[in-house]
Amino acid sequence: MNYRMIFRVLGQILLIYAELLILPLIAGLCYGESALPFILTILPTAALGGLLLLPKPRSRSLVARDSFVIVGLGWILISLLGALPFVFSGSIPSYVDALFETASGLSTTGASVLQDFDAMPRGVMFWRCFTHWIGGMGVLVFLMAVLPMSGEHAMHIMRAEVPGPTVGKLVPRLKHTARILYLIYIGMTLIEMIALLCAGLSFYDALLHAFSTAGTGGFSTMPDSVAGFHSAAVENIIAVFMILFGLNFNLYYLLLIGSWRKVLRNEECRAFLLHILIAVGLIALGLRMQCGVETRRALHDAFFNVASILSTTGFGTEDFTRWPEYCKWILILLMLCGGCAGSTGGGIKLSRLMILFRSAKCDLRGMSRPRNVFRVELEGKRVEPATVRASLTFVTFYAMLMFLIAALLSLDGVDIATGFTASISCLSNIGPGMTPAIGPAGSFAFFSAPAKLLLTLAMLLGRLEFYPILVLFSPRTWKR
Amino acid sequence: MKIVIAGAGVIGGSVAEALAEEGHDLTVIDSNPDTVRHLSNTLDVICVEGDVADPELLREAGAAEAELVVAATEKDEVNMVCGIVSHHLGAGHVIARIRDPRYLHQTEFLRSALGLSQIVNPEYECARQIARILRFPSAARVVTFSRGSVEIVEHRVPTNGALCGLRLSDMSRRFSSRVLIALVERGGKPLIPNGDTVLLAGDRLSITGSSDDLRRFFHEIGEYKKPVRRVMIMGGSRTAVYLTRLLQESGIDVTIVERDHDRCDQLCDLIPKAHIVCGDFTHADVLLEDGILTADGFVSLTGDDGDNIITSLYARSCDVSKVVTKIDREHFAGVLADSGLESIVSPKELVAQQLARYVRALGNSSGSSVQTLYRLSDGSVEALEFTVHEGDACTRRPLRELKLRPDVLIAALIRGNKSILPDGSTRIQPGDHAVVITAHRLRSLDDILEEKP
Repeated sequence: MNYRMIFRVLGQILLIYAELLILPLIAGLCYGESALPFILTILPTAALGGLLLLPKPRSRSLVARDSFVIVGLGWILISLLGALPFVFSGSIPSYVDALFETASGLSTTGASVLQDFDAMPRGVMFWRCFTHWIGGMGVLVFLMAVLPMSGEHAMHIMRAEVPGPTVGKLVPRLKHTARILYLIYIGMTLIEMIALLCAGLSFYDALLHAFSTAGTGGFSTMPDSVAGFHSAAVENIIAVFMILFGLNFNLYYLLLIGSWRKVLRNEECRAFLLHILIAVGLIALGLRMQCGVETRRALHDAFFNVASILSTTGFGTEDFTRWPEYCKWILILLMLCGGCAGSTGGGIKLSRLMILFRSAKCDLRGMSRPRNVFRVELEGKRVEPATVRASLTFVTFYAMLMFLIAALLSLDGVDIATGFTASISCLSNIGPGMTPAIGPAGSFAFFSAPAKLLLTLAMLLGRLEFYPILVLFSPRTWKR
Repeated sequence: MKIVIAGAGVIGGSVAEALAEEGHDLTVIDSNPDTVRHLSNTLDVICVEGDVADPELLREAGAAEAELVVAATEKDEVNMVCGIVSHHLGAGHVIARIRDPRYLHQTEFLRSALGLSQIVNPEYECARQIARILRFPSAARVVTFSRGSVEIVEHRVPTNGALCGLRLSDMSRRFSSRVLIALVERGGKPLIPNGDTVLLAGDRLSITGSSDDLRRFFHEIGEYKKPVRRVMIMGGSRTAVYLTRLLQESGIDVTIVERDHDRCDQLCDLIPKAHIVCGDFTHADVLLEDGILTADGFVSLTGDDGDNIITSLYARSCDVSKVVTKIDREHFAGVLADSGLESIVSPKELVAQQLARYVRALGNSSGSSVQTLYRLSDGSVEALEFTVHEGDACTRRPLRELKLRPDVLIAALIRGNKSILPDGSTRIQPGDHAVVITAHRLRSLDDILEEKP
């Protein structure tokens, strides 16, 4: 392993991170708050980053294993350091709680332990939502967009950080690809912020909610989330943008260069919208028939919550833990699905499920016609057997980790439903679970410190799609 | 006419043979010394050994003065280079054999970009021929004129059938469908019939008419077969890919059996909607498992004539209603007719016809030009389609008063979108398309007359 090169990239990550931390500092100063919590964070971050840059690498080559270690270690480091402002400002005094909150932010989960929203300074609140925005597109993709990285090795890193079964470049240069992705990301965040401003939110609320939606995170400035604004317009704007950020960003690039035909023909995008349509219909029907909610209201609530869950954002307007059981089940299935590949959403990803479903269909047909040759097809192209296998491996890991984490949570004394949905919610980077304790109205604060650390790990595992963290903890990686 | 043929493989060789028979001056280039030696011994042509894309060699072979250069090697790209070089050397016309499916819809672009006069694609022609047969399975073979408004179909008279012992002058009284028996092949000898001809069992007939009339005719004689719905294709060649696409356009379900696993994967990519089976087509259980008993069409397209014949015979024994066999060595075709395999397709024969038509049209700069040319029977009889021009001698009188050469039959006239079955009082008009069956080598329509005016 090329340790010096790994240190170098990690050092670069920390320096960038220190620069990003200046933004909440400025925000805090604007509201006349103390800059101390951020200065106390920026100094050690920058110092550590500078220290890591000291050893000059002999070779600049990075193999796949190195990239996984960089991504895994990098994310753990920024989670550890990002927790400091919460502790120093005194808004979340326990470091474990602060770490949980930061990892939840960076992994765009949105599960919170915060209970006293009024006690948190505005600068720290800005930082809390800003972590969603940083984590959504990825800090290493950002690094690639701004720093000259040796192109041939950077692809490994991109692959390790960007979610989805396959990662393609938009333009020949990786650096330009990363830049395009970030420009689209910034552009859409700004558009959402303006839309929210028009709907009557303050600049502060609009910007922070735009950050949270863009990363498909789910932190809100309000104790009762988006419901706190009591505005249907705000809810609708946020719901639409949650769906937009749950779509593959490559589609926006295609739209920008005018290939809207390709966008219309994109199978994953169609499947995503179809899932939303069906789920909204079924849930609205359930709310209408079983809870007697009037049709308009039922459709509105169903739309917001389906968008929120399927895009893995986790904003809440209604306490869906009180909905009919079958509506909850639909939401749990959506939690497993997650967004599209190449979006900021989490979960298994629709394209993976589509690949597996089609592959299973081919295998089933192959049972009765053993000599027939089939091809698994996505977007009109053959899916390589290696990709099918990788998707299968991913789902296997997902299932194993889901059960393992749920089982371990039982040691903390939580019931099965809470344990399971907490596990799914963290692995898929959603936020709320399906029981009142951890639902939209609940909080993760009651978990013990070890359980919080476990869920912290689960969130990072989910965001990085397992492999970087698993490689990091595999003894084999560190041998020789 | 001076013609250079670059590449004398299966296709190039048969083209050379066909053109040499027509009496043209040929120079044949091939890189294989054995082929060159064989050709110079069997055909009256000049043979040159070497690389067909070599400009120096092409100049030496006379491509600069040639009226036509045919690039017919195995490789598309070599043919393209040969075409470009010949075009720049100053050859009158250049025909290149380009057969990759990727180039199929680029014909116009390739023609203008490479300076080609025409592109021939034996595999595609073969696939079209087979698709026509499968769409009209009552006939052993189907050829079309003027974009399908007139067809010639081949049919063998079965023993005890309605046609057995029929005198042709009785045809119009016995059947309501307006068709014409244009050629009778008896005991391997072609015979252009007249009203007194009596049909016998075992005769191979070439019947002309519009496709509706032909369909009605086969209903009337009780030989009508429904169009096929499920086709099995042996061998995943390029022809199979073309054919599958053509058949899928008419909603026919296609299963391809191919031995090579990598090729199977490619086929999945090329024709995703077809069923691809990876297995040995000479094993009966492969065919049984994948539905030969429910198929009503069977096409063998492997590279091996033997495999094609064996699998076709097996398909017949499984009562598949329409069996088409591809044969590369067409001198076996005659033998096969007796075995019950009647629909035989030969890609190189199709290309030879296409080129013969092109050359015939080149040789005749004035007057009615050859639009279509098919060789019927064993090649001694041709069916040609001419466009009739103002001032052609045969437009002056009704047919009855024209002095036609012996062994000439005007099988159909196409006027606008309508096809006319000619009789004595019919008059050929300028603008018509005339389909002529003849044992002569015609260049223009007026060649059908006994003496030129």
